[in-house]
Amino acid sequence: MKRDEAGAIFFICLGLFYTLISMKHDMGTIDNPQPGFFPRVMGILMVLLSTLVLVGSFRRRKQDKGLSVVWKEFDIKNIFFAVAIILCVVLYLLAMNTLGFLFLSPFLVFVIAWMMGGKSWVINAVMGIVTSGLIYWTFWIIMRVPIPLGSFWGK
Amino acid sequence: MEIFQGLMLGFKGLFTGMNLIAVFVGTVLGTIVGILPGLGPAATMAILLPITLGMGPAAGLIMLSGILFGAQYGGSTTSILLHIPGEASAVITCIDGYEMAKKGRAGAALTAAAVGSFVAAQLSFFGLTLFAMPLARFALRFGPPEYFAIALVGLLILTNVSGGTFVRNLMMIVLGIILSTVGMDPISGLIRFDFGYYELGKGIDYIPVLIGLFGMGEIIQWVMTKEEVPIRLPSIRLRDLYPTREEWKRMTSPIFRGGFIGFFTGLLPGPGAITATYISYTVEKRISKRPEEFGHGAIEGVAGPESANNAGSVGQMVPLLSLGLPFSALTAMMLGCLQMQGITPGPLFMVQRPDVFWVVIASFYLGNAMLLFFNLPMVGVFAMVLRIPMYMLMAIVTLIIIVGTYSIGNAMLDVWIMLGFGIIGFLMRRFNYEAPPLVLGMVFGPVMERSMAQSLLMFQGSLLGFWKRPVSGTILTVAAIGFLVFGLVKLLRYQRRPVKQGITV
Repeated sequence: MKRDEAGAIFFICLGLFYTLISMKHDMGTIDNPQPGFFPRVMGILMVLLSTLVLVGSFRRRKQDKGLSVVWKEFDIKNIFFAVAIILCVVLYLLAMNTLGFLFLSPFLVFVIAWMMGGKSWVINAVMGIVTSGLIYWTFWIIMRVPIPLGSFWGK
Repeated sequence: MEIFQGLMLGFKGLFTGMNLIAVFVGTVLGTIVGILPGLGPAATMAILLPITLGMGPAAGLIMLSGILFGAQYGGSTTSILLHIPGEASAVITCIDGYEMAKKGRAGAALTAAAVGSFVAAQLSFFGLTLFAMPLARFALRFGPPEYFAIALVGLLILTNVSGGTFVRNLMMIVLGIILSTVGMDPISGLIRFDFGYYELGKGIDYIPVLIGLFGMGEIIQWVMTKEEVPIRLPSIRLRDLYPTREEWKRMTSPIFRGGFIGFFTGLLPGPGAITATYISYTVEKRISKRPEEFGHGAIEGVAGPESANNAGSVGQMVPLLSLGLPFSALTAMMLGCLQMQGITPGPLFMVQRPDVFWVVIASFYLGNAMLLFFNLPMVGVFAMVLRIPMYMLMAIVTLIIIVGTYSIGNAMLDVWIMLGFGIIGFLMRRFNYEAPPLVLGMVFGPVMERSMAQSLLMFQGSLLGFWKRPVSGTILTVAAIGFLVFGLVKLLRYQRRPVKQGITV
């Protein structure tokens, strides 16, 4: 499948799904529009526009790139690091309420810096501790944002 | 007189601790991100947006504006010295700026860029000061049909001037509007599309989406490419910065023309600063007595576009401050900054909050003078930021983004939304879809839905009602004629193209 076709099909499905769920709400009439009116217009518009893109993509199928363009132009190592960084952030967010910002953040910065190319363990560790401390100071002390400090530590 | 008094009030308020710090921090950060290729003003503003919450509305907006204007200045430095545009709006400066640098005139090119930016921005601030108030007064008469017409036409213009094609940009706008319908219906108050989740019932805030698309998306893109800047900076001495008398003479008119072009281009929806540079460059080349020098180090090719991009970024502020309608992703962030503080910019903004409005305007004048200082005598110092490894910046920025997004509403859902849209932002680039139309669709969605429903109620369902009111009727008619002419020109051009190329939608 080509890239433009895949994109257009995704948006057609999205538009159809949105139009279908918007039918739960009353549409009303044009002189008295109800909560379902505007969403239904937008859903139909999305389907129409995506269909136009799909038709266009069929017309110039030969020039279009394949779906592999999403990853093909990048180094496999960089793709691995990008996915790993996203997973690290996901784990960080999942563990945030339990282990807290101050415990987790230096590790996150350390790991991300290492994956992004920072090979000195000492520099990465110092950067992790200093950055976390400064952010904690800015957000918690100055801006009074209730950053989760971790239920594990009884906070 | 009223404007003069307002400015005095603004300058009085500006010289307080936080506001002055905000001008300094904003302009320094703006210059730095302008110099650094890869981290643009959009990403920086998105990253720092939550921090403005603790600064107050005036200081927050001042800092964001400083970043926006500073990036226009800083972007020219690497364009001229390294042939690497720090900013999209500095791409055109690469052409003649770098050629001048190769001929040993880098200093003169940097001066042309900085002085041009300074003069054009000061003139545009003056235009903003003069235009914003009458426009806001005029807008007080606007009702739902007028707001609907402005939003509709603005978004349609945006589809033509943004990077992608018309249909794709329109799709992104519709997607943005669709996302904005999650949560409470603006008319009846009914909760829609929450899928049973209480948090979704509150709606999807556009700020985490914006931070995800521009901040997190940028980080993912950088990790995938890991583009480092080759650093071979030529040394610039202070005396090298003086242009010759001939160069001064040649750059004066382009600066004023660029300023004029930039300001009026900036008023239109879309990336005004970027579009203005291309228009300015084309105009300068057309009217030049030495068009053959363009591309080989013509100082007009630096002075004109650099003046235009600064003036363009000022022009963008007019619809935001006077109508409350942001027509670019950057001004949408500024709107977000004010909304987070409980302020809605628009016609009543300068009446209800003159303390904020005039301080912000006054800060533009001061910030511009600071930027001239940072970008001429201190250009060498700022260029040294290119020596900071990108991995350090990106690792720190990742943590700031996460905590910053959380701080907006103290909700983890916002952080998940931000992360999700970071991934979506990266995929959108790969699939050739633009992010700014999506964000603006989210910003304009509620305005359009509310004003459309109210207008249809007012007109008892008759769409002709929009044409019966002078302002909305004029806007829609002018826009319809404009689109018709634009469409015809495109059709004629298409007919003259070779058959094999086909249509791109």
